[in-house]
Amino acid sequence: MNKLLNFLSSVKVTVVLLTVLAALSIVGTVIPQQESPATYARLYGESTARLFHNLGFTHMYASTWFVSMLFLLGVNLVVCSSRRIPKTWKFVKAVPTLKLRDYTQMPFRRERTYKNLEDNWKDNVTRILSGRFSKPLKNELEDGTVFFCQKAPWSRMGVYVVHGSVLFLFIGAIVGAVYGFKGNVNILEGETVDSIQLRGSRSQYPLGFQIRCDDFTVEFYETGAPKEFRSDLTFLNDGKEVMKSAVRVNDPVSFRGITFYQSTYGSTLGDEITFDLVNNASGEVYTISGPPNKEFEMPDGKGKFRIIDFQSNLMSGGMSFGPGVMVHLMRIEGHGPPFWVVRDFPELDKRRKGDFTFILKSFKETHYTGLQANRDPGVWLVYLGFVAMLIGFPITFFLSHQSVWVQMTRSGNKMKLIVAGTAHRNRQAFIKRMERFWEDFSLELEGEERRS
Amino acid sequence: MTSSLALSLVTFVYLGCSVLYLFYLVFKSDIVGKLATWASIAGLALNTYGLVKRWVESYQMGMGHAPLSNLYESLVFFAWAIMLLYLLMEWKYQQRSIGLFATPFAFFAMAYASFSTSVDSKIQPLIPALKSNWLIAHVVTCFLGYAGFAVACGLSIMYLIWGKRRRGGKGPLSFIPDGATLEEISYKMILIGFLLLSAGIITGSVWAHSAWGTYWSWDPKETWSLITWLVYATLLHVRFMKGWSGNQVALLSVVGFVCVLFTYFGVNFLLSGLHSYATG
Repeated sequence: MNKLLNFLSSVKVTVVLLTVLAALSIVGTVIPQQESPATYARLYGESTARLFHNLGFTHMYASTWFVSMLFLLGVNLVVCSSRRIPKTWKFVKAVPTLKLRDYTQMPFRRERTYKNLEDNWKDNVTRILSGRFSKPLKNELEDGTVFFCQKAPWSRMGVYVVHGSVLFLFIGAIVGAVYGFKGNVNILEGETVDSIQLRGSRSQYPLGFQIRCDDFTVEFYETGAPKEFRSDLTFLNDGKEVMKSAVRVNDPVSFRGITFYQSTYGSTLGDEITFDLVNNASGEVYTISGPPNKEFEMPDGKGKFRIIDFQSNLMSGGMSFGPGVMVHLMRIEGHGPPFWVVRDFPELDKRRKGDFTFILKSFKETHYTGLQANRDPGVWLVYLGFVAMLIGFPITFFLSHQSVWVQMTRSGNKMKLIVAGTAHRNRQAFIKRMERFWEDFSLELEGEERRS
Repeated sequence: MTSSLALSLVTFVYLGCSVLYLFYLVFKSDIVGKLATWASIAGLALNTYGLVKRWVESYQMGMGHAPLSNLYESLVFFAWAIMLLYLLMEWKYQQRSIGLFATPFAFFAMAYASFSTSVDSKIQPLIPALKSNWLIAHVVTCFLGYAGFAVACGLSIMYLIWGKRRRGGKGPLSFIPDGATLEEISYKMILIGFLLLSAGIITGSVWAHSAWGTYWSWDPKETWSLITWLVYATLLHVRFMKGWSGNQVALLSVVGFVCVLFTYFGVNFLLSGLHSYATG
């Protein structure tokens, strides 16, 4: 057990996990994620596609591999930190016993001898140290005096703030995955819905309230680029209006713990569509109309047709053809491939050389707004993690626990001054700082010396 | 002066800086060195002017947004951030020779922005997804972070070439700081870069949550920024805890910057995803 803990708390494991996570992530960006089996088969061939699927490469970030690596990293963090925190805390709290030493082990050490100093030099040392570091502890011994002060001992804990913040991210993500949900809902203008389609499953999630889309608008810049997508929504409870609110991109709305985001939009056919069918042999014109979801009878008993798709602006080869519907003919002698009938180019269907030329006479169009709806009870934990991380990094990177000793020993009428110090991090910068301090400090004491 | 003229000039100023820093090392002339520093300061000032002017121009055109919304603008800001961090470092450590390995990054960014036909330099209105107060915080932190890594990469390349040489001598190398100093400054730059990259990922994540309802969606750009983060996190751990130093750390720093470049450019052109507006 102890061996296992030792292994789990080693930095070697941390480094291996970070590297493996990076490598798996790269694989996840190179292989398209969450596509259909057919797409993978087309891209990589049957057998490679199956291999990728079995290895989890097609759903990398939800794969057992990836999740267990994240889990291990979490365990590594917890074990590492919980083993080190008690030791670090001792360093934070420790105050050395102040006795006369020679400080030869310290990364910074300077000494010089003064002949005589004024009586108030001790007050001056206290004042200078308080200004530069912190209020010093003082111990007056028979042969001399020792001052000790330190700065930011708590900065040793910064690294645990950072590691703790990563744990918060993990816990927040788990809470969100277990207790939250993500879904989508398309609402036609004027329509009211009471459930959403859960992502990654076929099931509907009942909201417990209703949403009506009063209006959906798209504003455009002069360049033709979209400027704003806006849905005007009304939230209802048992048919009674409770709240009205607009949802825009970057401006979601929350209702009873569920947040709605503007995600997509589109349009579908309204309740009536009219075609003119021209008999190519006789030139006779038949007008046919009805709701777009029913099967239409062809004239002369030639069969039936259905509308299987609608585009409010059909694009082909970089050209825009305007609104069009896709028609599927079900003739008695067999089904042909479906074809597009576009409103703005009524001559186009002649080229198909069928029994009839289809002309799209008129149709009604209804816009719908596509909303993303979700609840994530873990998000505040994640945000807490973000805040902790942004506080922890500067503490860890740019602060250090600095300890400074000033010792004055008397031998005869001479006074020997030693200034020594250490920092647990950023030693080079600390030593430079101490050199400047030493210059100022020894000069100031020299002043005291001359006056006496 | 229009912003586009100013920014075209900046490209040439940065080229001039790179050449001056080269001459400084070759001829060991302090005057040339001072000239290089002043040229860099002038370039940064002109770059700043160009960015501010472009911001003002976008308001005059009725769009009114910070110049941080597409590839061109991000390249200009990237160059600005590199020069800013480099000059701060030159001033703090009094090491001029590093300019030879820092200013070319700024020049390449500006040259790519100015001369590549695939980079559209027109001021465009903001699409709905980018209309957010998070835009500035996200782009500024990310690119300052990238700039920190760029300068660290320059320093690491210097270390890989000259880190182990003997001190002293009178050759053109005598102005180049010793290995320990190169390591120290490069490490500082990595810390700054890592802090800012983290802040960039965090601001992006909070923004994504308010725009799309999810703070992390494994989009290729997000994922590559995480990969970059993991590489530098590895670097910090092996340096702190395993006592790695010298060439090993310098190599990791270069690998990290390659990841930065891939996150910035590679993802746009090779992988598709939510960040497509940063392409053109």
